[in-house]
Amino acid sequence: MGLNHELIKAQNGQPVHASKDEVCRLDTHFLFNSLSGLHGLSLSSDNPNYKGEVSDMVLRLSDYLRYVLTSGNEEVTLSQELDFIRSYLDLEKVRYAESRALSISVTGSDSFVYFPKTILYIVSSKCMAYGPSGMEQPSKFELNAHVQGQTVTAQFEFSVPPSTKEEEIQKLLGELNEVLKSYPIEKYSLVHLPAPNVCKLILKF
Amino acid sequence: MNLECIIIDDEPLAVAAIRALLAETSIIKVLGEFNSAKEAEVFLNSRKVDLMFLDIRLPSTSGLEFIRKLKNAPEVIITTADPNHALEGFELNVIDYLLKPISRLRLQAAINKARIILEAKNVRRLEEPSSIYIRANHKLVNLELDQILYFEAYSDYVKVYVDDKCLLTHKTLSSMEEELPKSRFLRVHRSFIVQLSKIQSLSGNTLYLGNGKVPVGRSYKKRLIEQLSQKQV
Repeated sequence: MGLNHELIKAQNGQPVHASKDEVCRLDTHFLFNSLSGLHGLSLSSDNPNYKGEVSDMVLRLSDYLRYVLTSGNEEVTLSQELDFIRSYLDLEKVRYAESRALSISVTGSDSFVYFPKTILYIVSSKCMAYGPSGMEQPSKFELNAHVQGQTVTAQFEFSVPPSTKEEEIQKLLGELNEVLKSYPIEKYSLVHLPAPNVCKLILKF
Repeated sequence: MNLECIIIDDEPLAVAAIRALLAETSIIKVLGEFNSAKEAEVFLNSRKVDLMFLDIRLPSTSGLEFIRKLKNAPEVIITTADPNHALEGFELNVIDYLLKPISRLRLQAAINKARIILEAKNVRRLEEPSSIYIRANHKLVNLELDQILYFEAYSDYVKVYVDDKCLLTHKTLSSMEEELPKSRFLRVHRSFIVQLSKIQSLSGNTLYLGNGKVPVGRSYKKRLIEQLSQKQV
């Protein structure tokens, strides 16, 4: 049986906004690895498998940087946040030559729900770092955002290595706690299912 | 000098970048490319490699752990986007620590360093004899050092234990010791000299080599432990 952690309740019921520094965290490791991938593509431009990939990757990386670095807009719509995560996942797919199954889906109407900028991205990148990015194939990352009125439930499901230990799950929890403590989250939970080697993380805003 | 290398990185595009840059140099031959340490280890156990370009974040392990784990690791150039492990890398005697994306100039400088280090090692290897002549059974026999397990003093003679036989030669153990390269052979008892690379295990005061057992003298044990610790991973 897996481990179930229920961690944070709303803080006095009041939305708390993170500072811009906290929100706009640029993942330098991801950035330089993506630039390295771009470098690899440009040096292999005669490889037919990589045809057109350079320009695609430049555009995705531009989207990534624009979203993370542009000041202001500390709240964005759920659609904007999810589009940004799609760009991030597209970059991951190019870096790993499509060897990971990465997907995002939305149920309900998401157009007018506002979100602290990059919060879902930061959580996604932490989940990726603990799971698919450190794994051999096959691995997956799925994010489903369910919208009901102004409430959003984001469910992440991602592969973790078969050798994942309880301490590593605790470490991920610690990092998530640190990241999420300033956000208006009603509750969240993380479940590690050792048999299929996946983690399920649910955030309710 | 040509260097035979492998590339270990879980990102195919990072491998492509290194491969493309290495193709511009004339002294490097890429023997293999691996997306995990596990695959690379199988290859390294099957043949000798001069140099490996190694990422730090790999599936299931870290590149630094991988270096520690290897018994006879080739020279290493770390290739990573993470600058935070440089000190640990140099503590493991890596030749260089390259940050991605890697420039031509920086890679070339690292390769030059590797070439100089590997050439120096080769010179040392060439300066050491690879065989010795001993008189046994009324013949002068050329013995490859690689074949020798250990020597045992036997009155005015020395028994030389090689892979599958024992030769007797008229010589003292001390004069034999003087002829042997000190990097490979060590006196472990007043009556025994062993080839370090042939030691299978040490249990208490007994060394196991091939099918033989060799006692370790009390006064020689400290030096033996020091030598073995240097080779330990």
